[in-house]
Amino acid sequence: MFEALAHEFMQNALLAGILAGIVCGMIGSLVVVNRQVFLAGGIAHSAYGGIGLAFFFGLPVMPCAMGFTLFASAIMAGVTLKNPQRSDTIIGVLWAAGMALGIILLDITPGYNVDLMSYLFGSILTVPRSEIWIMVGLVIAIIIAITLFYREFLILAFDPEFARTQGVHVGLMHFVQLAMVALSVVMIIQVVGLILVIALLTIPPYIAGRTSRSLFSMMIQASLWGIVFCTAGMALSYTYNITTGAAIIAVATVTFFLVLAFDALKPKTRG
Amino acid sequence: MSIHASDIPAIAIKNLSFSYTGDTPILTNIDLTLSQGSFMAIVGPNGSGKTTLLKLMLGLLHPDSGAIQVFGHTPGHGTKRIGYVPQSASSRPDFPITVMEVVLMGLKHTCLRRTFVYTHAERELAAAALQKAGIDPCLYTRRIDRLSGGQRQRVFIARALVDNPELLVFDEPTSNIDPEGRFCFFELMDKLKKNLTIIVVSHDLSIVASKVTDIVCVNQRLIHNREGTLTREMLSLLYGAHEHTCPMAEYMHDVSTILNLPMSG
Repeated sequence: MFEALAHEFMQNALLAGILAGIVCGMIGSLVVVNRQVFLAGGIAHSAYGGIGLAFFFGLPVMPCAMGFTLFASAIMAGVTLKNPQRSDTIIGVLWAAGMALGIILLDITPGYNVDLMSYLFGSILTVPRSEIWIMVGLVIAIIIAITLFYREFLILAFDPEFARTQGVHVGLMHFVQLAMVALSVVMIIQVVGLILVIALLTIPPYIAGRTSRSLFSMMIQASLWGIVFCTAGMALSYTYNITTGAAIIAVATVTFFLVLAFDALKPKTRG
Repeated sequence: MSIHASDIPAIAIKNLSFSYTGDTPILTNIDLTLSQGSFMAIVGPNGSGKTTLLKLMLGLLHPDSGAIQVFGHTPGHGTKRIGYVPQSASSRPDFPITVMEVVLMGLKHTCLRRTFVYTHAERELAAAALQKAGIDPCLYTRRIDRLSGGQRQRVFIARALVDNPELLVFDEPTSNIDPEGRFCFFELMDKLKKNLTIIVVSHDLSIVASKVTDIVCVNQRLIHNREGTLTREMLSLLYGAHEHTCPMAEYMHDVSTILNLPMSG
């Protein structure tokens, strides 16, 4: 594989994988500790509507998808705050509606359109250098946001009721958090596709969260796991000529089950 | 009792009403005055408005009518003086966080600070609160989900104490802990009540056995007894009058015997 790194497209793919791994670790940790996996899935699938809009109107795909996904995440944030008991229904509706909108818009867009599968299962090998810079900017923005609002995210995730008594703007932080999920999801779609994005958002944080003693260390460990899965998946994909996105998730899934087995077999201790 | 001399009541509620939906009242025209240094239990059946009343005191909800003041201020403005221990179920059970970091979360001035790092002085405050709550120092770096229910309860109490509050509020403190944990909880209350005003919200009538000075019974209406005993009127508010099947005197005797509670009226 190392000889392949001489090619720019492979360098871009590796960079995209590393950046996606970092984002998965940080944002995925927040998704997992807040029990928002279904919500993140809804945001991910609704992103397809943004992709369809981009092709229909001839706009750049990533910014358009981000804008649409931010809009969808704002609706979901509002619903989960106002009516948490019914939120899963609304999320399911938006999940399906976003997908349907994207497919219909792509159907009616004249001319040759990009293979739909590339957005469903990822197309890391076609990520251009220009989008790498957008991803770098996103990662920096997410790191800054998490650094600035770490305490709010921490207390809100651990004890939402107590957070209110401490003056945390629970509603605002909920919107900010889901906005970060929306931006991250669009980035990760490039790597593993929207079908598999949930796996990359959840598996690394789950593995990290078992042994971490803080949310911060969970994010760091999860980011490292994300990078390992992406690079190992790419190596497998290159060696055996299989879809890169699926290879990444396969590596993550195997690791997940190995960790489960290890946890089941090791003697229980407090600590 | 070493409470600083002040005539300002810890809690002052006047003619307060509240409903969530606007049609079904939860609390109706309630009045309550609690002196500083008191140890008050708020009891009532499920859905009676106990936690709602507590949230009104904390400023998490706003009354539809009437007034409420905590240490002479509108709730929300004086919350630094209140230490709140929510039901243990409100926190995520398997969250990656240590005992020390949970307690540090209780320091309001650090809560919204733009840095990861706690100062040595803040850690000292947290350690002092943990010691007051009876947590062994060897547990400070342990993950909170590795503790027993009773130990977790004490950590949350330490979190409420770390900012040196004047009023300590507990919401269903004994609902998720075993009998030994409950015993330790009441022991701790005996120590803390010397220097604090304490409010305990519970649907468990046996909590009044922990030598409270005031009992408030809530079931849409409110009855306040400053003698720390249950009255006929309070039981009627709680359970309804069953005199056609069980004369009130006999009923009260049965309840007091079973729960070993002081009774009056």
